[in-house]
Amino acid sequence: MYETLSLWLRYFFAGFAVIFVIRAWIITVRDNRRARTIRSWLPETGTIGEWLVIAGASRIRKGTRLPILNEGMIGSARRADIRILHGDIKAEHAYFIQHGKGLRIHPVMDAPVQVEAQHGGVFYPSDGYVEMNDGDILILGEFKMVLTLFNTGRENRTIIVTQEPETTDRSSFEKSVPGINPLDEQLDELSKAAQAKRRKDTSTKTNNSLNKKKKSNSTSQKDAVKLELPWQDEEDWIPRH
Amino acid sequence: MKRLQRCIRAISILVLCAFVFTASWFGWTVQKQSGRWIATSYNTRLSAARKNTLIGNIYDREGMTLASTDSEGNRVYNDDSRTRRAVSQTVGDTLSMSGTGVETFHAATLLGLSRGSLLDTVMNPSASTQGNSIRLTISAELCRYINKQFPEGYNGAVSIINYKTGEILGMVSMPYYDPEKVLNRSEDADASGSGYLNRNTQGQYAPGSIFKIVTLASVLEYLPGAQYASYECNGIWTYEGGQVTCAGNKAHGTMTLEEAFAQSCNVTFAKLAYELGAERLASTAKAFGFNDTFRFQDLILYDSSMDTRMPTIGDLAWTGVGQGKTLVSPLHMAMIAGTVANGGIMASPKLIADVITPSGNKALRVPDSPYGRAMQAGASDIIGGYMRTTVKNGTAHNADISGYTVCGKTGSAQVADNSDIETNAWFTGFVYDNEHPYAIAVVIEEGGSGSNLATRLAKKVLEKAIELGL
Amino acid sequence: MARRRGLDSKTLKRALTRANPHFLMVALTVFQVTAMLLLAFKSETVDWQAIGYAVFMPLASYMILKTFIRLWPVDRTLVILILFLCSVSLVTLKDIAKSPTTSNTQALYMMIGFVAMGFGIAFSRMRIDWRKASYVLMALAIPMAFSPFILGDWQYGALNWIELSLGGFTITAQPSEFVKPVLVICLAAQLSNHPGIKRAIFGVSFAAALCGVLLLQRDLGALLLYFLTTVAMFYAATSRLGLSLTGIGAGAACAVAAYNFLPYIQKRMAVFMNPWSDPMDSGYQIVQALIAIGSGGLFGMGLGMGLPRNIPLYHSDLIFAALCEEFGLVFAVCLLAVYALIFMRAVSIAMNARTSFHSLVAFGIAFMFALQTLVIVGGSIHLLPLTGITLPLVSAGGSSIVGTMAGLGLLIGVSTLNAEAEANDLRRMEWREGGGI
Repeated sequence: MYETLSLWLRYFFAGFAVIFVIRAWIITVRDNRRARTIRSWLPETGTIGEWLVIAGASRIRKGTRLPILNEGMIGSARRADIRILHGDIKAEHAYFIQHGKGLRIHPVMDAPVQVEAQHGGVFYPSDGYVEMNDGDILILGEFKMVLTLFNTGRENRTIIVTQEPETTDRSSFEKSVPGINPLDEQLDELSKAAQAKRRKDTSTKTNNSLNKKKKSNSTSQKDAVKLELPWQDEEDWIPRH
Repeated sequence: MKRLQRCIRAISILVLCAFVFTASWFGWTVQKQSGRWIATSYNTRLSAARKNTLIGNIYDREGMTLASTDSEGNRVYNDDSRTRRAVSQTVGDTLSMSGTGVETFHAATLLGLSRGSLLDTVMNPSASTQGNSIRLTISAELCRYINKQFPEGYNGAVSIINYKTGEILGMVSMPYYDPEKVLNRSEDADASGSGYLNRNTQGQYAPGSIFKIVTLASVLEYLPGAQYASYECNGIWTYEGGQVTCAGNKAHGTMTLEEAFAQSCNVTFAKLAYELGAERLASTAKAFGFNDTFRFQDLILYDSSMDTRMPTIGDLAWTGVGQGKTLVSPLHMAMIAGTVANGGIMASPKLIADVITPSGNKALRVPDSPYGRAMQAGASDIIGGYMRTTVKNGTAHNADISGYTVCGKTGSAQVADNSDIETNAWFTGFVYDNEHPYAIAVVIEEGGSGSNLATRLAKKVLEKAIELGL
Repeated sequence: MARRRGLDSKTLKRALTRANPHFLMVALTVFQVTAMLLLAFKSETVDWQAIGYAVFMPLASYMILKTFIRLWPVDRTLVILILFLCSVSLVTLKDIAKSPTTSNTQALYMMIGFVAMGFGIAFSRMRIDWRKASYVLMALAIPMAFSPFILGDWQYGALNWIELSLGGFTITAQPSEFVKPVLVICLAAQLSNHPGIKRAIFGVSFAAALCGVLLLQRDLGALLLYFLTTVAMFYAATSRLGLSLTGIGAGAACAVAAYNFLPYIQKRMAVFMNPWSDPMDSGYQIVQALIAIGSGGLFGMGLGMGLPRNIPLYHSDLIFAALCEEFGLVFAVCLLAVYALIFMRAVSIAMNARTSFHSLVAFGIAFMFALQTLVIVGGSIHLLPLTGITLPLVSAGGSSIVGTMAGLGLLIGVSTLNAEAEANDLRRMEWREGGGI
């Protein structure tokens, strides 16, 4: 009796294993696709800020924004995280890494790197690196970029959003994962707004980029609710090195 | 970060390839080799399973029952004692006295140990299950005939195969044993001590002059124009450190290569082997399967070996004429003869024609693919022609069958320096006929000259095979 | 700025929805219950231990999954795959072990392992200076690696076990298993953020020191793992192909030298090349393993029907062969696929990590896990020589389970950081769109 049952169940176990593996495979493929979708639609995923080009020439337009990851490499090579095709930029020009509230730039060998601070002064690399903070200008030869960091917690950069239900409690994280319930309506509005804005002239946006901070204060403070992101006020959730 | 991600991606692709490779190697090896693994006597599951399972039957080519289980669960072999003994080593016995017999090597199939058929499990859900039956490619009647015709008092082996498909039509090894007596635990089951050995697959003999087939193949490949040269033989060739003599110190005079082959001139072939050199001769032998590890699905065939270094001239010379350290099994020799007949392609030996499940269906089996190409078709034609001349006008004239193209080569292999001990008599050859594609190898231990006993036996066996129309 | 392709909320929502692993969990539960209930009726009397397992296993799996989900945003599919491996382990051990306590100890160690996993997750989420922390860890690892010399004894030809007696209980443990995740963390810390060549060499020398200790202890399997993982992480971090290949070459040269000088390695290789030549003595392990695998065929002999007790070390190193025998080829290949899937998910976690340190940690753990699997499965099926390492999570062995789970905890910890960062980014996207335009 037991033998018969065991023999019949062999096929069941084998079938179960196959179905299990196939399902797990489908899930994995879908997750990878999801990650790729997010990365391609929202290239700022993983970014902590951006560089805004203010003086470049030829191929890179003034006003281009380049997203910054936690750490990476600036250069003209294809494998650079921030790829800048400019005559003055070497293949591997400099490495940058988040440090404290700012960035640390490590130039490769003797590539020209200077930092012009927002409140005055020009800094050169010493001991192999130079620090820069939010608002400073990075000068690489003829190329200049302004650093904007997202999570700096300064007053005029309060994070405002329209309506946000209570799901920021960390313990019920499952519900607050994007794509599930509470954000749906916001995503609808968000996408409609984005599509509407698309039709405007994009160049005007870049000219006002530097003044964006001030604008956002005035316009959206009217009907906005201040959002409590769980990680907002913590300086960086990224471990320091 | 991009650089890091790229490296990670590269390494992870490597690892995934390793996984895929491991899984496929695993699947492939288990399918191919698991029969061999389970068939050892170290597998305690076999003896346990034998108690509970109805072992399947073994049939010969025409359906004659060679082994079956009676109603009381005892294993019963063929009624006719001569048939039983003729196929004894091939069929084997349940106590694994003959280690390479079908009863042992395919025990898993006969016991139905790895039952893949869902239908069978449903049909036969009882605990004492039934195994599969096997139909072999051998013809019991032919084997019986061989056993009867084998010269009295000698040991040896006869293998006859179909050179196109590789099917083994007959495989008889003398001395025999009687599996029925083994079951009865009878004392005289193995009358002459080595009856359990299947000399066809496990016996390794010095080939003697029949190895000249391989040497000739090597000559045709590496020494162009050798077929048109003429060769001198005055019975002895002296080289540094020794000499090679022809049989009976006979001087053959001036000959063509064909005549040298047909007369089995040692001097000529020793010189040719020397001219070839160790590397080229060894390379041809390798193409024929020497020094390879045989892993056939249907049976165990011991490896044939040849010394590939052959540092001295003497080594080369004597290896060229089939002495030296070369060892070959009779079945392998039949396969080599078959290669000549088959346009240079060596078929893999097949022993199992069908596996029949308890519900009566034929189980799906993927047969072994051909062993390989040993030589070009042109070369095999030439060698075939020479072998025909050997039968028509040469040392193998005793094998000629009127109405058929019989080709062959004889050999007398020395087994000891002591000239009191007779040489082993060899014959290997084939019938060149699409209706009767047979290749044969006969070895008679201490049978003297190959052209006598071995060749005559081969002729009788081939005639019988043609008569039976296998 | 951002490239949008036909953006509307429906496609966006569909793209952002995580695939739901509920089906996997249900299927796993069905498997656990069926297998255990089947085992309960194997002998004449009902086996209450098996019935206990049939109830305990699904409950425990659900609890563990829910606990982890509640605490952190873990990768649920990964946890379910790990639970699958643990279930297979318990089922197999319950079936083939001679004493009924083996599966109980295994279950206990698994519980401890899951706690260790929790610690691993919390540990990897800490925001500390990992470079400095790694020095502390290195200082801890060296004595742990040396402990078998002091506290241990030779077993199966290798000195990699220690015995601790605490108030009547003797625990045997394998410290090299615990050192594995520590090694990965230390290496990742030293090799992250574009290390200079000096720092990279320093990290590698630490690994080399550990390898040397293992060589003295004759733990060749662990040595192979450590060595290859170090080379892989070195290459990933610095992408210096030349140096990495040199490292592999040096390792190969050492292996050849060792083969020539050490007789027991020669013996192992001889057994590997032809195990059938000595099937009762040195080749016994692999011969019995191959026989078991061959007997299994495609669908196996059936749970409870094989005779795998002939395989030496059937419950630890060669459990794969016992699994093949009872469950069959199809199941075994699927098990291998599960390991491959865990590796794939771990690599995607590494690719999505935000800092090079976390990326390297995830990659190191993934690589070591996959490598361990490949080496032991290869050894069981006669593709590679047998080494004394365990099939991760399936083999019996407390230290192996706890060490592997701690490592996987680090991996899952990195995945939680990824999930949080992703949510962060998406939120930021919203307010930037909503507020900034």
